[in-house]
Amino acid sequence: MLDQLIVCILLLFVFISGIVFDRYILNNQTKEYEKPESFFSKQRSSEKVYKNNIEIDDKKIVMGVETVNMESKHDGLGKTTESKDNTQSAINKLKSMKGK
Amino acid sequence: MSKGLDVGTSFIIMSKYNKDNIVFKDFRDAFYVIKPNTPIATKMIEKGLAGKTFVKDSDGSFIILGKDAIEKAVERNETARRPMYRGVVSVKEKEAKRVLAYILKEVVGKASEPDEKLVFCVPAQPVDQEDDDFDVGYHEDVVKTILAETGHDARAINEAEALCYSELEDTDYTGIGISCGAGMTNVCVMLNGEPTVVFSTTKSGDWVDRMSAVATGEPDSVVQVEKEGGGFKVGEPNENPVLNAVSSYYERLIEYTARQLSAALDGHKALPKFKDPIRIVVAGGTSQADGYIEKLNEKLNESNFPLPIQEVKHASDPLHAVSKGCLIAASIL
Repeated sequence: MLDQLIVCILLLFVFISGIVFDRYILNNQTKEYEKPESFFSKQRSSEKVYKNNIEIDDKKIVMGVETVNMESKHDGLGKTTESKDNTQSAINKLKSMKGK
Repeated sequence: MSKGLDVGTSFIIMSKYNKDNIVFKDFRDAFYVIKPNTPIATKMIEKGLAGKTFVKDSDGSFIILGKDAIEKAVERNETARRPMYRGVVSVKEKEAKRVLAYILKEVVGKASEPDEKLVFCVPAQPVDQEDDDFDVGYHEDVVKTILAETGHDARAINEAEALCYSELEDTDYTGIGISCGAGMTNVCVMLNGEPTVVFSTTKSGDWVDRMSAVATGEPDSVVQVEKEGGGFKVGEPNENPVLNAVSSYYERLIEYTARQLSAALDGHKALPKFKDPIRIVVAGGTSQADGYIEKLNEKLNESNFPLPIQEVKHASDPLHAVSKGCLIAASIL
């Protein structure tokens, strides 16, 4: 009876040690990281997000992008090249993978 | 209809469909300002700029754009200015936003239908620099504001994620995309079409130009022109002193990139357990140097890269791959 109790206590001790080892030692060795969200998930989730805490928007505002005073002195801008469209199978594959 | 847009530090590249083809429009992201002091000088300068790509600003100055700006800067032994710095709109240049707005509006054009879908690329947060000037959110807002004026419904995508959508179809969108631009190197680890790790480093082609310019005493623009002319192989000595410096710094850049890549992924919590060796696909103007891919493969092996590599592959069209990925993303929206 005493033997069984000692074995149970030992097993419990090993179990708790494992949890402590994982939480405090292994976790310290891996980098803190927030998983990036795919471009397509962002598009789906952007309208569903609801925040219940009220925050002030302190992002830098966009100013000074007016170009009306810049008088063009050239023909079209940029060099144009064309290549065969080989994206349709990629689009179809991605659509099926993303459930679109 | 939809459009893809690679808003790069060195090139702005727009892509769109035209029947069975993809049309790419490239423009060099550079400008050079000449401010005349007298009315006679104004007339002389304007005459001298005939045939060049330029605009006349409200204060009477001439803003030369694109390749012509670099040529004019080299002619005057100076360095052309950039509206972008390390992947985002430059806060160092007062004129940056206006010049970027002008170039983007001209290259992208008006939307062909109301709220035409357009996807443009943005860089990831760098792992090697904490910089208050690096504000991707602000950069994204600036580009969206400009593109809204042209009637587009513009959305942002991570640059390396776009590269993966363009180049990893035959591995079911599993692998690593590395976009080596002028200002930054962007990385995306993708598993079945989902990005699992994205990050960037702040050393790339411009760093090679800067360091080579310091070593040889030439302006950055001169080094850039020599470098883009080719005639050197990464890591091999060259008789031309500028190209010799470029070749050496390229090797250091690749070693740095490989080490950063290995360090960033080693022990990373979000790194998937790939069942097969993975493909690494590389694109961007900086990767076009002769010997870049071979050297990157060599340096990744030396830096104990934490994943088994199947191959390090150059994108089929390295300069247009990111823009093509943006176009693919826009077509799925």
